[in-house]
Amino acid sequence: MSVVYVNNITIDSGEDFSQDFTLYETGGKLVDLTNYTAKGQLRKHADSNTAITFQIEYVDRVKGKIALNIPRWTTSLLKSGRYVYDVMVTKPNGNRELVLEGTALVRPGVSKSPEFSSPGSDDRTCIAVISSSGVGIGTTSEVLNKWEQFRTTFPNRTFYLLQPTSDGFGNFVTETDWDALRVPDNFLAETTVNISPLI
Amino acid sequence: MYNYTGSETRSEIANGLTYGPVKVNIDNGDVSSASDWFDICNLSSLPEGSYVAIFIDNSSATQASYDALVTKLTAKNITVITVDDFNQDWISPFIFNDLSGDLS
Repeated sequence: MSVVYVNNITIDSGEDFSQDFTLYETGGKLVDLTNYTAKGQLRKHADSNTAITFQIEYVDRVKGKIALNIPRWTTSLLKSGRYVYDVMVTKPNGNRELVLEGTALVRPGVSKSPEFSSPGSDDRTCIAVISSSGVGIGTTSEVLNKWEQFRTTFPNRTFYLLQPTSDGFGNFVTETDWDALRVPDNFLAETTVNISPLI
Repeated sequence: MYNYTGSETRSEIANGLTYGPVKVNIDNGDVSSASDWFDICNLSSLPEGSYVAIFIDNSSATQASYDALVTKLTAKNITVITVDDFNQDWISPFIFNDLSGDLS
C-alpha cells in the first residue's frame, strides 16, 4: 500500500515544468515501480471535464522515483490560477492506487516567445471512444445538428470515432454498429470506415 | 439513419479528416488485449507539440489501450487532453472545449 502524498506544485507559464517525486510504501519503504504504469492529470477543478496529461518519466523505478513533466508549449497556454492534479499508478496485477495529489499554481510568464507556438486548435486531432449505446447524445436530428456544428466550427479537425466491441479490432463495422452509436448521416457522408490498414 | 447497402466504399466520398466508426478491442485493462490506437489513428504523423483530445465514455473497458496511447503520445511530446463526463455524447466535448490547453 503506497502512501498518498499531498504535494502542491507551481508551474510557470511558458516554461518547461519538471518535478521529481519519490514514492514510499506505508512504513517508509520505497515503492518498487518495476512494471508499474503511472498516469497523472491536471484539471481546473476536480469535476472539470477536461484535463492535461502529465508526461511521466520513470527516473528510477526500483527506488520509486518518477518525474512529472509538462512541456513549455503546453504551460504557455495554461491560464494563471489554481488547478488540481493527481497521479495514479497501475500495479502489475492491474490494481490501481492514487499515490500523489495536490494543487498546482500556474503563474503567468513574463515573456512570450514565438518558439512556443504549436499546431493550432483548428487542427486538433479528436478521438472519441464510445462502447455503449449512444443514447445520451440525443435524438437523430440533434446528433445531425451537433455534427454540423462541429464541422462548421472546426472544418480542419481530424476526428476518429472508435468503437470498442467484443469482436474487436479489424472487424468491419456495419449499419447496426453505427446505428448503435447514433452516427448521423452527415458524419457518414464524410467518413472513412474500414480503411485498409485496419483490416 | 444512413441507408447503407453494404457495397459502398465510404472512402470514395470521404473528406480525409473523419474516420470511423472503427472497431477496437474491449481490453478490460489487459495489455495483451489492447488495441494500438496510436497506429489506428495515424498519430505518428503529428508533429511534436501537438495536442490530441480524447473522449472516452467507459474508461475501464479500454484502460490498457488508453494507457498505451498516452505512453506513445507523451514519448513524442504530444499533449493529451482528456474529456469525460459527457453522458455518451461523443461530439459536444469537441465543440464546447477549445482544446487549446485552456482547462477552464
